[in-house]
Amino acid sequence: MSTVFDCRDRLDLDLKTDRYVLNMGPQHPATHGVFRMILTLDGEVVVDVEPVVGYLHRGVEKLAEARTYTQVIPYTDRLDYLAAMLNNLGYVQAVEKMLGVEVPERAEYIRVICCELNRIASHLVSVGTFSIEMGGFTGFMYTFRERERIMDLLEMISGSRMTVSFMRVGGVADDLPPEFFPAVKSLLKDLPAAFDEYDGLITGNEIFQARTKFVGILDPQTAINYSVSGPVLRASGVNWDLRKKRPYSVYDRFDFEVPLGERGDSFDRFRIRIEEMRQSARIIQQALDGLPEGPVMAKVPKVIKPPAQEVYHEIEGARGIVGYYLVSDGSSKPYRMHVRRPSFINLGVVAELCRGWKIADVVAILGSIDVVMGEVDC
Amino acid sequence: MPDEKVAARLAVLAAGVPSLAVGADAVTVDRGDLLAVMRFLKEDPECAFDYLTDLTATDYTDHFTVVYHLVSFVHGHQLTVRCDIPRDDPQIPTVMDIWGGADFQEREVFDLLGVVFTGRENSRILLHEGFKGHPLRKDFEWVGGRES
Repeated sequence: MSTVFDCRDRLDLDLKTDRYVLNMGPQHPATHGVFRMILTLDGEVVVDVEPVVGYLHRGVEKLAEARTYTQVIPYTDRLDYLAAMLNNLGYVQAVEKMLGVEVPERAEYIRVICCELNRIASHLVSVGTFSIEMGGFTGFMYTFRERERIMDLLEMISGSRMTVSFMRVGGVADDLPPEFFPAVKSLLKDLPAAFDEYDGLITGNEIFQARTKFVGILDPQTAINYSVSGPVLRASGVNWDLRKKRPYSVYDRFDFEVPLGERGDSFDRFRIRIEEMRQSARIIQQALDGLPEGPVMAKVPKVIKPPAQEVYHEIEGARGIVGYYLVSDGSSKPYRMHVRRPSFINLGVVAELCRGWKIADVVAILGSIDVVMGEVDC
Repeated sequence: MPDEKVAARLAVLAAGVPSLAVGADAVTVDRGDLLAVMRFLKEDPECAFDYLTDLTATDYTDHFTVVYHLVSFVHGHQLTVRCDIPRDDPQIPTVMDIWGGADFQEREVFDLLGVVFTGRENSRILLHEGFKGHPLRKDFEWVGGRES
């Protein structure tokens, strides 16, 4: 067997090597949208990474200043477009915090069901695309099979597959349709087997493991220092899930676990998403079992005019902590809106993670962090 | 909002830092004392705010307010720190050395509001280098704005 060529050996030989710059993106299949990385390389080894973002910047925060509180909801869909329900929830809860609205029980349960369905759908995209990036196209086809069923459910609920705009200040837009219940029941029945199937197809694959295990290790101190959140943070072994730590909505009523990683490598970041999906399925089942009767909207004035104040509200999104900072001036439009987008902040640690790895590992590291550019660029 | 232990520590800190005011929902501080206060909040074992969850700013037309939302993973408590800076001299020291997560967020605030963070390189992050102005300022003129 021929020996594997290692760049570090070449450095030991004291050969003269030139550093050179390689542009990766903005159009690159591994960047999950339009995102560019300027790689400084020594041979194949990454010396530095400069992430360049902003290709999808639409100025949502500025647009919100010219919209009424209700009109802002569809814009939140378009941040993390893979997990629109969760963005909706963070926003409407922030406005509800300002108004002091009590949301009806049934609406809270429906919110939880929708959010967890969307979390699974979002993780399925993450897991499937990561499989492609590691050279296994088949895994992608299997995860998208289940994702499509969830998309159908979201369409039943809201009329739209992705840009749902389903949450309202004070509740949800509509009650769950009757055809939703048998469909979700059959989905929940099939999900555990599907997760096992992904484990067999992707997680257990030797090539996949070789490409991801011990690659891009993020230690817990660095993760906390860089304000990393979500599955990426938990893969490093930090137990921080807002659904447990600061329960919002009715999450304190459900029994679920927070999966944690051991090494904080790309493999852990991948594996933790499959484990989280299993827990989300458990939450949906419990929420369906305990779904109370009643209205799905609180009494909220047609024109929402919160008294002058500022609030900051965080929820656990699919990619990490989604936070909404709202300043009201007593008018019907927000004076200032800022969104804490987990993908944007998680991207801050990419350069740190990629240094010293090879170009192919950059794809593994970026894929395991799982950024959505709609959210990064806002 | 500050919990009891944090409030007690803040009272100790306030004795040495005259500009520090502990309000009902947030702590306000002058930019001159910002770094000392932030360092204390992170390093003091009773406070231990090791996680900067959100950093942003608002244009109040006569001044900017930079807002820091801190969380302690050790104790689980939260704190909001506010710092007002004049509009004609929008400078504030960087907290990047205290929390690495401030890097991207400070660049975003610089990009969209034109707040300059001293002690670090300020470069645009979302908009392109040639963009004129800072769109989240209230005097930024655009078609479809708040008043139209």
